Amino acid sequence: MQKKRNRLDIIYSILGIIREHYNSIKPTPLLRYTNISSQSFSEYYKELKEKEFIREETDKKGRKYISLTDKGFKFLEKYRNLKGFIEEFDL
Amino acid sequence: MPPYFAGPFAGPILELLIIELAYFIVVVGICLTIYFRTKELYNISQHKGIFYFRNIFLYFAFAYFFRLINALYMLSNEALDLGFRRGFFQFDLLFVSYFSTMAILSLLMAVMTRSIKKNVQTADYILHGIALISSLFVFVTRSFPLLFLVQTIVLIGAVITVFITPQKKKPKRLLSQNTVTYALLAVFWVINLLSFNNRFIPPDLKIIFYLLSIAVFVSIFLRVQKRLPSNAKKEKQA
Repeated sequence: MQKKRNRLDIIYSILGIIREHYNSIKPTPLLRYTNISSQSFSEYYKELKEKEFIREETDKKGRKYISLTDKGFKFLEKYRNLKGFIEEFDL
Repeated sequence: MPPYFAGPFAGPILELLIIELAYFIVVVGICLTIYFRTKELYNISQHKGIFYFRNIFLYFAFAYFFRLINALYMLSNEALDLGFRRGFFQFDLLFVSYFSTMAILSLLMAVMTRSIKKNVQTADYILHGIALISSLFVFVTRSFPLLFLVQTIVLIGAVITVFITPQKKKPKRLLSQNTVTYALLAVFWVINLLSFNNRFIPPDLKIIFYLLSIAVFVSIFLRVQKRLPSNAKKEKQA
């Protein structure tokens, strides 16, 4: 059985999916790829926007796209260290 | 013959000054290094556990700073007979008490963040409230023994809270490496308070306490250093 993902893993997963899609993805496919409930997704989405890890962009046709900010890219880069640090000190 | 001090720091003043200063520089240097070097990890994650972990060292740095001020003041006051010790001592005690209580409570929160799901903001206010009330008690009574007692009660309360709170993630052992490290950190602070005030603790024993306390800080520092981005990369490459 696969180990349950924690909060940090889910954030990493959401940001990773956006990056894999050339830093531009619509909210619905993002929700599908992340494999979490829509309610949880909304909470994470709100949190990531508040922390300025992601930003919303709207094209000429009014379609909403999500992309990573510099902070989001930085998080992905440092994720392993961060996870290691949190595990090291049981935080 | 160098002046001999018969107050809480029995021994020649110059040696005591050097010991206190060296201890302060090492401990506060380590605390501030840990605090500033983990800033980036906190900024990118906004992780509450990291927030409290960093605060432990920030508050300990302040507590040790005011402890040093008090030590220096008491030493110089006894040697030069300045005569205005009481008011100063009272205010310094207030800061020592506030910052050290905050450090111990941050330690508790760092261990507990996994179990506390919401209302961490409220918890912050409660921590400051507890620290402020206990400090005011110490301030009003001007009593070092009371400070020692308050800190011991906070420490025992913290230990009990850790053991009675249901943990999300069950520890593999009853006492993990971190629990022991955090407990030692707090216990050495309380011993510091005792050795600071008690004139009957021999200087040699005090130096042993200081060295053990430094060893705990250094061990944490090395673990932090190992997990920081640049060092983790080097480790991986090797």
